[in-house]
Amino acid sequence: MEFAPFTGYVYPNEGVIQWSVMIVIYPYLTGLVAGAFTVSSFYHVFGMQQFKPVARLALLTSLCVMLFVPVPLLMHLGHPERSIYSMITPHLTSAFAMFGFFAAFYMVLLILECWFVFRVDNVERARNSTGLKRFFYRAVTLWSDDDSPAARALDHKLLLILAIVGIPAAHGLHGYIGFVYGSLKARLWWESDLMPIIFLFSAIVSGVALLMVLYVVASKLRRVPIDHACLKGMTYALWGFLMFTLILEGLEFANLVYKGKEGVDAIMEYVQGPLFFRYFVLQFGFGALLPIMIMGLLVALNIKGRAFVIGATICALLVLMNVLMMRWNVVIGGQEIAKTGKGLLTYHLPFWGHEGLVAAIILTLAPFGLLWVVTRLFPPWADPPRST
Amino acid sequence: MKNDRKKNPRREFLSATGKALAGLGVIAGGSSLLGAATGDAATESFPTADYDWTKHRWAYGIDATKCIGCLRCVEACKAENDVVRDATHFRTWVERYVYLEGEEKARVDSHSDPKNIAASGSEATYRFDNRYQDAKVTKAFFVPKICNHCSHPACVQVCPVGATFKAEDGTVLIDHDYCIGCRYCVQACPYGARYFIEEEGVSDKCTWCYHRITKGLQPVCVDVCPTRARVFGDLNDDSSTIREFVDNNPVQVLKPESGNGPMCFYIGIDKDVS
Amino acid sequence: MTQKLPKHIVRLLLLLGCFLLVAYAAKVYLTDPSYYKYGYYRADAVPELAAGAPLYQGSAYCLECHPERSADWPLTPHKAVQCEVCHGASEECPVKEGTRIPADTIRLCSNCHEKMPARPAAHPQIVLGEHPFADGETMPCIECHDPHAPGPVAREEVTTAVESALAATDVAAPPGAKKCAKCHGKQGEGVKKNPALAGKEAARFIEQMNLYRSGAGDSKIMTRFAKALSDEEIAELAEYYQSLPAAHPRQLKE
Repeated sequence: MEFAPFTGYVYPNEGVIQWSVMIVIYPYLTGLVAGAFTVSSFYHVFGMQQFKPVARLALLTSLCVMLFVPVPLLMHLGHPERSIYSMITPHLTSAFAMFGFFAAFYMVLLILECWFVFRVDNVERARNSTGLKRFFYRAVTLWSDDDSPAARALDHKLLLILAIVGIPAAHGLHGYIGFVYGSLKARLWWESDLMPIIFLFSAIVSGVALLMVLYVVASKLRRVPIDHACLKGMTYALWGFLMFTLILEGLEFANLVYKGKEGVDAIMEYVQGPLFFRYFVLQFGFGALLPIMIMGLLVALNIKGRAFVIGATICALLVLMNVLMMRWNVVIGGQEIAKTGKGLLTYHLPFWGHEGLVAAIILTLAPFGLLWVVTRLFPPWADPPRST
Repeated sequence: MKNDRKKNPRREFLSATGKALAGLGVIAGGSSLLGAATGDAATESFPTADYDWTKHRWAYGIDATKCIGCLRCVEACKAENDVVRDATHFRTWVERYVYLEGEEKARVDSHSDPKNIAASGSEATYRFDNRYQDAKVTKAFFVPKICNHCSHPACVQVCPVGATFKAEDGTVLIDHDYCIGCRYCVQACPYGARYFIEEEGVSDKCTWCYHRITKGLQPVCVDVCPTRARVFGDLNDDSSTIREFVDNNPVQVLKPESGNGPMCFYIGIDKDVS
Repeated sequence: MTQKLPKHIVRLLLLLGCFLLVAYAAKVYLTDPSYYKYGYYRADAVPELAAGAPLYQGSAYCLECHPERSADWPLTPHKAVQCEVCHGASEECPVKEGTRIPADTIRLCSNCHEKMPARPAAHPQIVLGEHPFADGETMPCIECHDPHAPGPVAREEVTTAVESALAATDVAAPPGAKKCAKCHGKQGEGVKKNPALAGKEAARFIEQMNLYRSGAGDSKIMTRFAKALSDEEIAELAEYYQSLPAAHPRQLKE
């Protein structure tokens, strides 16, 4: 059996790095889910009108990604068929056991919210179509064609409740992952009280960035003008949350180094060596500082129009890379530092296989394939496309 | 009147949902509690007729000053428990600590070191090479390692399904028919005592040879050690070797700051042993 | 009362209700009956783990069929080395005779006895390349050492009185005698299974050495030594040993 190459001394059982790229993709996806939901709640809960154009798209994005969230876990588990045990007989001291309940609750909530958001539109579509299409929309609306003002008012009230409850639900869904890492005594790289908060804000940032990219791409594909107020709103949100996230991540690392507890020598060797590029250059440099500066410039110089769109999109893409690097550096990075505090290992990402690069790429892109299909069935756009 | 009709649907909806959820919640919660409460006062001996786990409090001791690093324990354990025969799956292993002249930090190696694998000839047999035979060594010793069967095991705490648990006699065990293979426990153990069996899709670790100690035998590593460096026994038994070991020696545990409360006690380990 | 609620809400609630019922039914049906008995685990797992036959039986088991070992092994420093350590787990015993004898004793013995810095100083260890007759590490340890009654070969058991008495021998020890002394004792008195040479008839000595030289002898080590000696050297040694007094603590074996 091939095991991870190492330097220094590592426990013999550490020779295999257990949590692979699938466990990097998983928090990345749930982060996108939580972040996209947060963008949607800017409009649905906080009533910020500039986010209306992306609000429904954000919901659908959250839903499509959410449907793929269990997949990396199932691909990683030794016995995926037994995963139901964590909901049948959950061990209540385990954060992992909470996943089943958070995920199920949030999934139901999200489906309900999407259902209410699109209900009236679906009723109309059911009315205006025939055959299979009609059957489909009738089924989706539960064979009710009630779009009276009373029903719509009820829809709105329920939507508000769902959206409000959805915020802690979505954040619980992603935040518990931060707790999983932050509460682990065995690895100094992970053990931190700030972990859940970092994961959460990192998630919000990734969601906003994703919606920015999706909105720009969708607008281009649909040949409609981009609502600049909306894009600007998202850019501001990204800018603010990113600065805060950067501060949090920086604080966490600084804390670790400053306290200098046993095992910090291995961490310092790791950070100055194998991790340097991924951490300081990619995650902090290109992934955080650069977009913050670019967005600062966009705002300070009052850049508008095409230049703004390009600048904002570049920032969003960099941030998406940042968040992926953050997940990678936490999950893989933590395991590359041996528990002995005396050695380092190297994770080798296989190309094929159920925990390989190809599987990871497919898994990350698949939700957007689904999103494309879903936006055709339930168009979230606030405006009609120029060409039908 | 019109206002009343407007209010009612909402109230009806909320109360209907609330009642339904509350009802289900009570049933679900109640059945869980009921399940937990029926830890029925088993009058018969558990887990076997000849072995009552409430009568024992097992602990383990290691005298590192006696270990000669022959690795008979590692080989016997792998044979007895059918452990994967390679260099990354160990229920017990031995570490070698060597301080060379002029160095303040120990050089450590164990069975996954490529030179040791070369010395034994394969990953399925185990031997330390003699790379320090011509070096100026100030201090050197071996430290056997094993699952510590902690009092407050982090691995048990994090298992999402309760596949790993602490038995009433102190042994931390794994239910291979229940483990889902998430490896959270492998991550949580600060001692690196756990590993994952890829072929079976479950996690595994030392069980103190549960199939032996429940029959009055000792774990096989204790039996085969030619220098009696390993000690196992019942803390409840005043005449046991472990009682004598713990009571008559200044003993240490590994990583006490972790709060796990290990039940494997060491004599003769030094500052760099982690 | 429910007709005040829009029908899609009612249907939604029914759907939710069904979903919750199914979830609850799954929980009840799929929960193992022994779970929750002693805690958050399947209690039936414990007897399952306690079952299983031990592989290693312990030396008492081996001594049942090999009682002759009780005479030496438990009385020696190897008493802590269980039979199964060198001979393999006895679960499948009885096995075909001879199949449990370790083949490569150098490898086996040096596992414990090779001199290593981390080994406690009190533990008997040798430097393989420097150990007498372990030249090139091809001489099996058991040629000189009895694994069931281990100990160094050339043990000085001679008292000073005997030593001084024997020092007055007429014939001076030929240079080759030093080598012989290592196994046969300084005064040729013999050590353990290595026979005494003192007082041995020279002709018999030469005869025996020639037997070894021809390769027909029963000892590999003696074959090697004999082959390394010339006729003159053998004659010299024969003379010398014949001259040594046989009345020594060890009896002459012949």
